[in-house]
Amino acid sequence: MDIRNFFGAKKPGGSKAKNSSSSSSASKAKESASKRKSPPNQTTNGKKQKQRQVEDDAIEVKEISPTDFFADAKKETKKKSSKTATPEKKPAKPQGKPKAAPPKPKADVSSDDEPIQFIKTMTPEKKKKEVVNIDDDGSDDKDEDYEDEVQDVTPTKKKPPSSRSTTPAASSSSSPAKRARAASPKKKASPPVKKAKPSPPPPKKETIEILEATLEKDSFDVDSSRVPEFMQGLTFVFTGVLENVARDDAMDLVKMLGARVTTAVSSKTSYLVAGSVLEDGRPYTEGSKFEKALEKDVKVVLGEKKLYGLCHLYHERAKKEKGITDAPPAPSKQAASPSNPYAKKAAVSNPYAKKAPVSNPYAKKSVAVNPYAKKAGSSTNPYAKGSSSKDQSSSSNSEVATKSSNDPNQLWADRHAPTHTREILGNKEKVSKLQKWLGSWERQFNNPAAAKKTWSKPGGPWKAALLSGPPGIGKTTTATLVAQEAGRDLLEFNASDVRSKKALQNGLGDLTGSQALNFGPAAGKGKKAPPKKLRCVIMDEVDGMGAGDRSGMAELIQMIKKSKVPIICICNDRQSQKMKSLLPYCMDLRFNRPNKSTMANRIVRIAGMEGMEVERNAAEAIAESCGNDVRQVMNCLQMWAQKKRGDGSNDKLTYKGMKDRQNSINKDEILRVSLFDAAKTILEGRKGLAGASPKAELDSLYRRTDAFFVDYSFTGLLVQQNYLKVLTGQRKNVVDVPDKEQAYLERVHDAAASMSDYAVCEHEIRSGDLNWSLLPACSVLAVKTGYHAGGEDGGFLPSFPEFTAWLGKNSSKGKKQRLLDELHYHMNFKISGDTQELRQNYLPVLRQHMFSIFKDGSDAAGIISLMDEYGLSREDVFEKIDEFRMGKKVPAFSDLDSKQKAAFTREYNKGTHKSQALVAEQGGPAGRKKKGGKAEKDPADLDAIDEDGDVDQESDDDDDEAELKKLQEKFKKKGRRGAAKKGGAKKTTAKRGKK
Amino acid sequence: MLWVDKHRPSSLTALSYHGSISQRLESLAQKPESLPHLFFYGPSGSGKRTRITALLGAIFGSSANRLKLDQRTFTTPTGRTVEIHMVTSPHHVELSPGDAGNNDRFVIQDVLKELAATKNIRSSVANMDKDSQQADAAAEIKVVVLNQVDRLSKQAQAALRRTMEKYAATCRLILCCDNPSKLIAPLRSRCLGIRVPAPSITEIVGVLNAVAQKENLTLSDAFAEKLAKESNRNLRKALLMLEAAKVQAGGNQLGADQILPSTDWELYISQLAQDITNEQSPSRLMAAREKLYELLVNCIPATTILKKLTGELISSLDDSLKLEVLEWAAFYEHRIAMGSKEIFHLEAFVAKFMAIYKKYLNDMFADDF
Repeated sequence: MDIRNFFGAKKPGGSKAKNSSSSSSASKAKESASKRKSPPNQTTNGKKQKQRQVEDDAIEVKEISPTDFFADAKKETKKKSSKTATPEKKPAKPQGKPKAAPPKPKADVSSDDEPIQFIKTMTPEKKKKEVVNIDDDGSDDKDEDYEDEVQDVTPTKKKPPSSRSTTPAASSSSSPAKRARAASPKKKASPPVKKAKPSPPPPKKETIEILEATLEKDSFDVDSSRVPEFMQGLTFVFTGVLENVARDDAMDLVKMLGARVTTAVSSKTSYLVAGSVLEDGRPYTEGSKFEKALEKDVKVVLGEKKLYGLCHLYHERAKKEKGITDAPPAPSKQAASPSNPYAKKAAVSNPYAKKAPVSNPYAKKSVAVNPYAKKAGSSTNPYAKGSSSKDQSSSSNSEVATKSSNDPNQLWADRHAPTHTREILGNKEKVSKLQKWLGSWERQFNNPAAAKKTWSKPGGPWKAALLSGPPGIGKTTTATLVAQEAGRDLLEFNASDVRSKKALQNGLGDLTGSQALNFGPAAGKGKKAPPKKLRCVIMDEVDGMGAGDRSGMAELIQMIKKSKVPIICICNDRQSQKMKSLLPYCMDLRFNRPNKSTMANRIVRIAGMEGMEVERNAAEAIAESCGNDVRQVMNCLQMWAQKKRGDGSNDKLTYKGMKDRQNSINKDEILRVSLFDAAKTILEGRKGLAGASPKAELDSLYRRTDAFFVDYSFTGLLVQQNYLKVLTGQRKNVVDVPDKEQAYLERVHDAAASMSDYAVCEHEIRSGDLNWSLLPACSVLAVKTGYHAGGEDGGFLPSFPEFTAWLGKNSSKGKKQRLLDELHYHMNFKISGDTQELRQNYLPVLRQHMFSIFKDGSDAAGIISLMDEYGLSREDVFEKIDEFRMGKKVPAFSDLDSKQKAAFTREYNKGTHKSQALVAEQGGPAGRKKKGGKAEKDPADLDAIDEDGDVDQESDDDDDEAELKKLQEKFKKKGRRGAAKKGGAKKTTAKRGKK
Repeated sequence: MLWVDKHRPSSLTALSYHGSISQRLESLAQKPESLPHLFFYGPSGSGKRTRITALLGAIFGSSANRLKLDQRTFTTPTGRTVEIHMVTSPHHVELSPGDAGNNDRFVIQDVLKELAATKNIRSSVANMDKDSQQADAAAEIKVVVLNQVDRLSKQAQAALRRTMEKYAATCRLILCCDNPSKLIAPLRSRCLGIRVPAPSITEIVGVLNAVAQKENLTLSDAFAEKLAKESNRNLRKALLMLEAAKVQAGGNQLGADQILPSTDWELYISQLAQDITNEQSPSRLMAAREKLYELLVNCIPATTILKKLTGELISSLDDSLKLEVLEWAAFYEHRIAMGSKEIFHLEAFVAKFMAIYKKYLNDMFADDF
């Protein structure tokens, strides 16, 4: 406890410093001054241990100050301007936090003897202040919606409540700005640190230059780092194209190290990491981010090498600090800290102690590094618990704590569900709106005057409320809590209940109807109703009222109109057609997903209560991956916790761990890529696998076979369409080298052959026996095609995969087949061959024959008699036969001279054509006898058929295209008739003209 | 009317070749009540349908030639309405169930069953115009001619099995197709198979001469033989080519040096063969794929394409290669029969040919040194 007190005491200082955020933003001037002064202090301090510590602190301060400049220069400058007045004192205080140091504490610290006093004096008050600070921090941080929440959350996140209160660091951790400052010192400081001790640190500027100029590394290995999250508190922004590393990877790196990555440069940004060129090729100096960085005085790190260097710097420093504090085994560390009253402070402000790695606080890092924190963190630790209830007396907190001790098998999502409206994440204004509405409901609606009004005006007031929004964000919880807090009894209907009209009347009618008066005395009576008697109906999942709930929605609306009880409806999709009728009757409250930082706060806190340690970045990543669905996040957390318990490992949930695990989680990721990407993956075969380990090869093989299943009915077709393109690209390497070219062509065949195998397999699946067990074989064969196409080293598909031509070709083939069938049907009487014979042998000859007659001088009669003999109609000749031409040289009937065609048409229309097929199709004399066909149209219909008979007849055809074709023909026919008439007219006029 | 149809024989006795088949059919026609199910198969242009028509005429007399178009509409279990055309006479029905595509099964199950299950009413009036006794007996049975049974799906063929036995009392089936191997064995075993082989060259020349005579055409024997060969012993094709040649020539003289007419798609395939022989590369293969697609879209069956293409390719090959190419052609023809996406197999064949041919060229090239 003593230790804690110490911490507490120190913190106070820190917290105070924080409190006066302005003060925290100690001006550079101050800091610089402090540095200068500090050296002397140190020298004097040599005598007493405590004093030494003080010295350390002082040193830290010095060091920090440079760092501060480094990372937080901008902030500092601004803040400084406000508080420049107390420059000298700061140096001492800074330990609490560079930024934090308020004037007074600093003064104390600066003098050799004073530190102790300072601590003592501060202790009592500080705690309180701290708390306050924390709150502030929290609110700064992210929790917009909920102040109380913030308080609770911030501390928990970092660590157990107790540790928080005691640790100055905790407070700092919560606020990004503070963190940034705290952390930043180190980085700069590290190089200078050594020098700094003996002598005052070099001017900040120099340090900066050194850092930027000297540190270049080729890589930074996260795994080798022994200090977790040592860059915590820093904020990075990335711009431009990094040379050898993908931007995402670089971002992951710094995130793994505990830093934050944001997209825009702001005053909180610590570093701007820039590639030398932007994505569009301009130099990075022209980018808006760079300009902003200049403006904000953000340090620019150019290129990934410098970034790695920066990491190394921070890491070195962190290690050094760690080395000092816990170079001895963990126990010694503990021992050390107690003995040193300042230690805790140190943790925060002292680069060494704090190792600032984490920047923070204690709370966070703490868990791993700081023995205290750890204890505090685990729920099993009595300490933590006790402290939490004591220190953080916030009601919600204690509630949560008690809750957490419940049934271990309970779902976390339930166990940690909010028990008070204050605890609801996000959507604060909607919650309060709902509360107000519910509060004024009785007055507004449950009085005699209101009874006769109808309530569906666009502007309200509404008798019902509709909460809408995605799942897992607390809509039901909100409704329940609001109603409970309003002292109402709840009646909930959800999709598990039958909600047909009848069921609603039975279940709700009594409640909402006249009898409701019994339960809820009207407000008009002026009596104070016992809260229990008020009721509230929650209709959950109203958009789920489906076919089974016949006229349930209509009944619900009726009920809302008459109801004497407030009805809260909840749905996910308010755009749904089903909801349309309900919308006008409800107050519309649209719930949004809480943002990820808000959620991260809660995640860290809850995890802490469950004895899990979760990095903040990891928490955000979880929130993101769950689509900001609070419930799902809880389920994920619980699963992970379970897993941890299962394998006995106790490591915390780190961002890096998340990333690593994602690779295994993402096993099915390939199923989420687009069809085209999947085809590309398959087609490029062993690309990038040269020299890879057997495992990597196997993984790749699995990935490719999985890719096939993105859409198993299309992937194969896409592969077939594109594999030759992959092969084409490789030809230049082999051409003119007979052996290679030979092998290359063999590969082409291998690829084609395995596609052929694929087609056979697929046929077995699709037709006949539906042998779906062959589907995996299809997948492997498609991959085999890709393998052959790519070769041992994999191929490259130069462009976006083409969509398969097979579908289109197959469809036009089907269309032509139908035309052919029609022709065959028309000619069936006279020819003996089947459709194939018709196509291959008759049609070319028939066409030639007709053309020869045309050539002879438009002997229309000859052709017409031929057509009549074969039962062909004009359309058969001019359109269907024309379809079957191959090669450009083959003449087409449609290319005939229009005059000739017109003349022919006139001639053709003169006569009657009595071929049975034509008569049946086009309608003939009404008396024509038809037998046997149920489908035969009766004579009355036949007239109609003459106009649109084709469509009529074919409308049941499976293929739309045929219909379309028919229609087109119809129109063409009409058009041509028109044209023919015109042509005819022209002809006559021309003749006249000649005459 | 084209000559091929104009001069088609309509009775068994008028058939000019395959005398033994004609005799057997004649004897079958004598006892229509004991007529078995028949299965005519053989290459196209050999006279299967001509023989079927003649057989029907022999059994039922002239009334078998009173043809009428008819159509049936039926609804599949999935709610699709399918229409099937048929040619009917008082005694027989002729249809191509394969026209219904994937729904051919329902044609067999619904339409055919209905046809087969109903008995022809033996009206004395109907018998009046038939004097022979045999027509009397024949009137009791109904004949259903199924064309292009090789297009039937397996399920449809399976559906046919039982129907054939169950309604044998009232109904005889005559199946007709090119390739008997497409018919499942149980069906083949239920039928009397009648193979109608392609006529020999001399038989074709004989027919050609007969037709030329009737059309007052002077046809040189050499050209007639050329036509017979070029037509692959397909009589229909030979006759059509004869007429086309006559149109080309413009006169009534067809000398030995007359150019053989060829059809558009054949020209197209020879062009394709040339492309493949000229260059072997994936880009050429892609171009070939386009041409193959074009052929398929134009309703040229994949096997026909493969056959024709192989013929074209082989013609210019060294003997040592012919065997190999043929082997692969057979392999991929089998593939085509097994699968439904013909282009895949055709493409693979072309790819294989390219590899073989390139190897051949390279070897030759190497030998030269």
